[in-house]
Amino acid sequence: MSDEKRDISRRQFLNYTLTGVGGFMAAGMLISPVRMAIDPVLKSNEGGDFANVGLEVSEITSEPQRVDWSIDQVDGWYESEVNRSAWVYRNENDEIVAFSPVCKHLGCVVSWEGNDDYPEEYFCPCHDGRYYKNGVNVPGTPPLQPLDVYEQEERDGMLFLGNIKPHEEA
Amino acid sequence: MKWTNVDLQKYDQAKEYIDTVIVPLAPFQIGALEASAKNADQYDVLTLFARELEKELMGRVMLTPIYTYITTADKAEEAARINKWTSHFKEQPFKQVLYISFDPTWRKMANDLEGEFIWLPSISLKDADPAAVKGMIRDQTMQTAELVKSFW
Repeated sequence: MSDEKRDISRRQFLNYTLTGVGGFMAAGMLISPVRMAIDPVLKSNEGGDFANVGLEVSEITSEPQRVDWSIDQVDGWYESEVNRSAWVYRNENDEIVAFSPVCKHLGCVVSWEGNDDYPEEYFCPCHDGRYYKNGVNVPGTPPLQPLDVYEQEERDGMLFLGNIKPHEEA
Repeated sequence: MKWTNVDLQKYDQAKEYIDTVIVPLAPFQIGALEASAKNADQYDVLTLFARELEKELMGRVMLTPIYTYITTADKAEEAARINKWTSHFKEQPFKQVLYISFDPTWRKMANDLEGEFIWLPSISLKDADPAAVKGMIRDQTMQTAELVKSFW
């Protein structure tokens, strides 16, 4: 055996092998955190949060009407159906507005003209909370914030409602 | 409000607003198949229904866990025990204690109960499609909510 052929010493060979194996291990450990870090980018979001509430846009008038629908909510591996409802109407600027019926006081369900003494207002039966037609709370009644609003869009003439966000005219 | 950690925190902050307790009463047994299965069905419906009712009136009611008793139990004894629950709630203080049940035998005992008894005509989950059941529960919830409001 000539010495020229042994251009890699035993020590070098072991070094290379260990570095290589170490590199693979590091890569293996890093790959899942990296995947998680960029996960939101990989997730497809095609507006899947919007749900058809079964109301034609042409049927929406200036008189608020209640719509009920249900969505599938996935909580970990537990999937359940959640009921939602909204009060939908067309405001003076001809825009469609969908209010969440959940009272901002303690979470009861409000209804449009729910009390004969307060026409043209939303009424909460629990503690007489009231809201004007534009969702703003009537001062002096328990709720301190206006009703929340659903994100909404129109698809093929049907009303689709999405996430709940705070009222803008707060 | 329900009897959960999250809701109890909220209740503690808003005690003066929540003055009504709702206690569902449900019979149960493990015996003759048909009767037992029927009780189990009713238990499910009552759970569902109580939850819907609570959702509607969340800001003023506290829903307790279901009070269960053996179907053949002596109602006078059970009434005494339910009254202990009631006096426990009134210490809080809750002003109204309402019992809801599909079991009509409470009707006769209603005078011995310290709270108000609300009997609900039962709905069967069997051989009905889910949409219809949902509609029925929704209807009954709204009507019962009206009844509860009449106590306020």
